Amino acid sequence: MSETTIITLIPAIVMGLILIYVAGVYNSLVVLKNRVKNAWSQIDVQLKRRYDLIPNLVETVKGYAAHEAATLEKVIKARQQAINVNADNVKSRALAENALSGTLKSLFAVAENYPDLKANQNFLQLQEELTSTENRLSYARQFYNDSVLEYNNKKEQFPVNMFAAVFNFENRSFFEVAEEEKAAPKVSF
Amino acid sequence: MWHQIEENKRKSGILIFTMLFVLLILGACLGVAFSCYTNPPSANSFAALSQEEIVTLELAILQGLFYSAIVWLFLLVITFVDGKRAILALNHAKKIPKGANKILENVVAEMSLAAGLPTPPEIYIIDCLMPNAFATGMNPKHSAIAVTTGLLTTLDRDELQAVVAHEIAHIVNRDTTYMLFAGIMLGTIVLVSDCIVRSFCGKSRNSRSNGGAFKGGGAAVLIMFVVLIFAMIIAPLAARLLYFSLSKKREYLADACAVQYTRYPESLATALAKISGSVYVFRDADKITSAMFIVHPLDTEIIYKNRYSLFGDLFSTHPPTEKRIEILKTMTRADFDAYNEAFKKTSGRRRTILTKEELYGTKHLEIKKPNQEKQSKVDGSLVAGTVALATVGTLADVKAKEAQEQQKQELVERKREALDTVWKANNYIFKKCTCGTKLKFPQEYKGQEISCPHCNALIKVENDETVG
Repeated sequence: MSETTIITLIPAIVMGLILIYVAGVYNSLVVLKNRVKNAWSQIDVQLKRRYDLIPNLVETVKGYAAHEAATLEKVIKARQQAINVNADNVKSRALAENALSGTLKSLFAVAENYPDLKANQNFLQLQEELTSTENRLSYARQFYNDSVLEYNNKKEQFPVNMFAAVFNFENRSFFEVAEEEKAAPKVSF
Repeated sequence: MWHQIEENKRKSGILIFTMLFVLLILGACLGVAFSCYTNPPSANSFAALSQEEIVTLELAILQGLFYSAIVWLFLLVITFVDGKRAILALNHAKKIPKGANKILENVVAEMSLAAGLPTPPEIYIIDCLMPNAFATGMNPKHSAIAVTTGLLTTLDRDELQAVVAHEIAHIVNRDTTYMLFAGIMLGTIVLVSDCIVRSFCGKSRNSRSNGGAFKGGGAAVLIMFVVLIFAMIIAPLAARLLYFSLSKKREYLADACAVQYTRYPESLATALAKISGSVYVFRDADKITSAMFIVHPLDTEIIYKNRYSLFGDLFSTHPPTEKRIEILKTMTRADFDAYNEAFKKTSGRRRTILTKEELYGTKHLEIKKPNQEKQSKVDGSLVAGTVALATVGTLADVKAKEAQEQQKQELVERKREALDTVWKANNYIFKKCTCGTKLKFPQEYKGQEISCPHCNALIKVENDETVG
């Protein structure tokens, strides 16, 4: 091999290695991004499940505790608001869903005062389903937030941040809960 | 975590080919042994073997290699297609129908979400009093979790959740894939070498009377001897060591992952304590599959004390349960770093258990207590019940007694629920009598009516009755 071929080969090899590295970074970012997307869709599934369960619950409670109309009305309104919120805006969505969680909690608290209602098989089943849904929601949210953190961390680190900007990988926001949950039933209509 | 997945995939690949190698050698041994038996060489040493005899020996080796390669391929296909079912069947696990045990199903669904598993695993039940559980499956999409009735009875919801989280961690980390391969391959090697040893022993006994394998000269004896030693000791030992040496760390890692999913180390610690403190033993547990359980089924405290030996640690597939519990109890947060710190603190060593690669992407996760509301509610009702009895001195006593009573009631309730799940898994039909008794009978029951054992009322049997 002559000297000139070596001199021309070296930059080619370096370029090749850089290309391989960039491809690796790009692929790992895509994997993480898709995980975040997938985690978000899991949250969506659980939220839909909750929307579907609530009308049944309200109907059941109505039969036993008709004069708790105000509480029921709040639940229905919070549900409607959660459904109407822009699906892509994580922040406002989290706020609406947390409000709904709060109204549901107060509904179950009200139900404590009605022994007949508490003994109702249908109500018990719905309560178990909703409790599990709330649990699932919190675990799905936990996984989503973990995925977002991993994705954002990877994306912001040097030298990945340079490529991330070029390839248009955007920051994702967390599905926050801590602060809002403390002040949960703060819904004003 | 992703590092662990890659490593398990790689290790599965290595294992498959190591097992091929061992099987090939075993096959060659079998070929030689067979040829020596049917056509014993007469020479007294290797050098004196005639050309013809060498050719027959070589042919026998080739045959052995060929057949063992076929066996290996066959095993591979079985593992891919039916490995999960084989392992579940070996442990007498039965799939539970949808809706048979709501709590268990919900817990599995919740933990799948926490782990980001695309589809929740199938749930199986084993009718056994020892609390235990294991997971299996070729990949996370086709996986299964099996729990014993003892587990459902002894653990409360949070503890059950921790155990399920541990099993799901095994699935996510691909430990189940590796174990499935290892279990099936190891099982075959042990079986084949067992066959060789048995056939040899049988034949050498015959040889005294009518001259069997050892009729030939010294070379035959020598060959047979080497083959026997290999088959008897080395092959199964190598396979076992390979299998066992790899599963201790994965238990620690699965514990750490479980805590990350539940964010509550305490529940896993108490669950492990309850499981290892059980007085029951899972006798039916298969020796090879027992490494898959959360706590070794043949290795509970009672047995462990009687059977402790120098080699115990080398061959055991699980780290000592007390140590796992201690680590979990000293955790101050719920992430991998905290697990590492706790490991260092409890073992007094500098070495950590999880490596840097495994720690990737973790951070500070706070511990959160689940179901606090439920707890306070129980306390509240207890106080309300005892206020009527006014006297302050006995208040604590009464409270304790009532709590005990309630616990007992809960245990009975859980036991009933667990046994019902087994009935449902066996496709029994449930029917409620007016007196409150639940009647269970097999689907094959031909009669039109059944009498209630409590109130003697006749109940109509309709096969379209929904299970519930």
